[in-house]
Amino acid sequence: MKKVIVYSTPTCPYCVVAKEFLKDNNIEFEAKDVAVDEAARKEMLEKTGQMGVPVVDIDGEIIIGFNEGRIRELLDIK
Amino acid sequence: MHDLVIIGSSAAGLSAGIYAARAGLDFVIIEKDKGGNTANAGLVENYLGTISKSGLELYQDFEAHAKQYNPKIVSGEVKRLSKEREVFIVETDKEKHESKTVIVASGANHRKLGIEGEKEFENKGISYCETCDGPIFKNKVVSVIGGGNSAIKAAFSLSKIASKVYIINIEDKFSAEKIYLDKIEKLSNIELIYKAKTEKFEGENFLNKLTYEDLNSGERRSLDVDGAFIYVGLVPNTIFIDNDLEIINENKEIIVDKFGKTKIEGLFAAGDVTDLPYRQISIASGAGAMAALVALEYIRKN
Repeated sequence: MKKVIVYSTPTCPYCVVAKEFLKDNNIEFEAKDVAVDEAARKEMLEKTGQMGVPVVDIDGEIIIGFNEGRIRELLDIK
Repeated sequence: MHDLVIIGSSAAGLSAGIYAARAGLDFVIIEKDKGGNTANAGLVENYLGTISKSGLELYQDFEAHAKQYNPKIVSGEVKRLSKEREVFIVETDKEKHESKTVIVASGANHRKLGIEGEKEFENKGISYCETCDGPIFKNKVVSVIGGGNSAIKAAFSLSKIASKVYIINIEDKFSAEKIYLDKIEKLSNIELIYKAKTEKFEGENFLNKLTYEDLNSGERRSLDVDGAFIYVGLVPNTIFIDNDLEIINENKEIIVDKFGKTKIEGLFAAGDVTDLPYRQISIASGAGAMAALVALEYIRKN
């Protein structure tokens, strides 16, 4: 199974949408809250070179923003 | 062919959808940005019946309410809206819908300043959504550019996260509601700068400097900032509307009458996308209901 990490803040609408989308499709993921978790924030900046959330990491493939099509593609969701 | 296509699924679109469903219309809602400006609104305290709730939660209430009626909501971006003979054609990136009537409730997106460094540092310090990105600026120095409700609300939220917040307003007073201005007045880490025209953003990998012109003296001044939140108004999402329909004004807004009717028979609009003043969730939801009712009347007569 692919390892999925979602970097998000609690108040960002698209972060909520992204996490709900994964849950609805029974995808397990690790959620990292960059608002409080400083290490996660640093990790996200290093991976993406930017600060916009959500960031979805699927086995090292980085998706910035909620891009449903790309997530479906990488996780093979029909 | 549908009775009605609703473009947009936030306050105006979902409100129209509830009226359409209750009237038994055959309709579809096309959704691009889930939640629209309602979801991004931060804390909402002026929507009747909701004492205080985040915009996201309020939007989730709207969605849950609309979904009680099992409306058909399809995700997609509308690429073109046109009318051929008596039929509206709504083409999205995925499919094509034909309909007797259309309600455009596609909302509006943040306006950009269009200045040097703005594009370069987007998501690298520059943001248009405090509810999304604000928490990342813990103990940092940030600026908010603008003077309306959205700007002042963003500054208020940021004052609890960032160490210092500059509010840069091009005017000599703020247009935000007094209740918001009173809130920020008491805060020691907010500094208000008036008559200041933001000119340039600079940095290395991330934003670290902003330059503005002091419109009183004509002098250039710089501030060391890690973040800049830009709230300088909205641009309606009308790019997909066929020019031949001639319903767009110079501000890219859809021209409507007090019922939400455009000059094209069967074509209506509601919410932030129209030329009616005051972009408020309550006004958008009311306008969505109005547009659905006039659409219903039009369908019954034709």
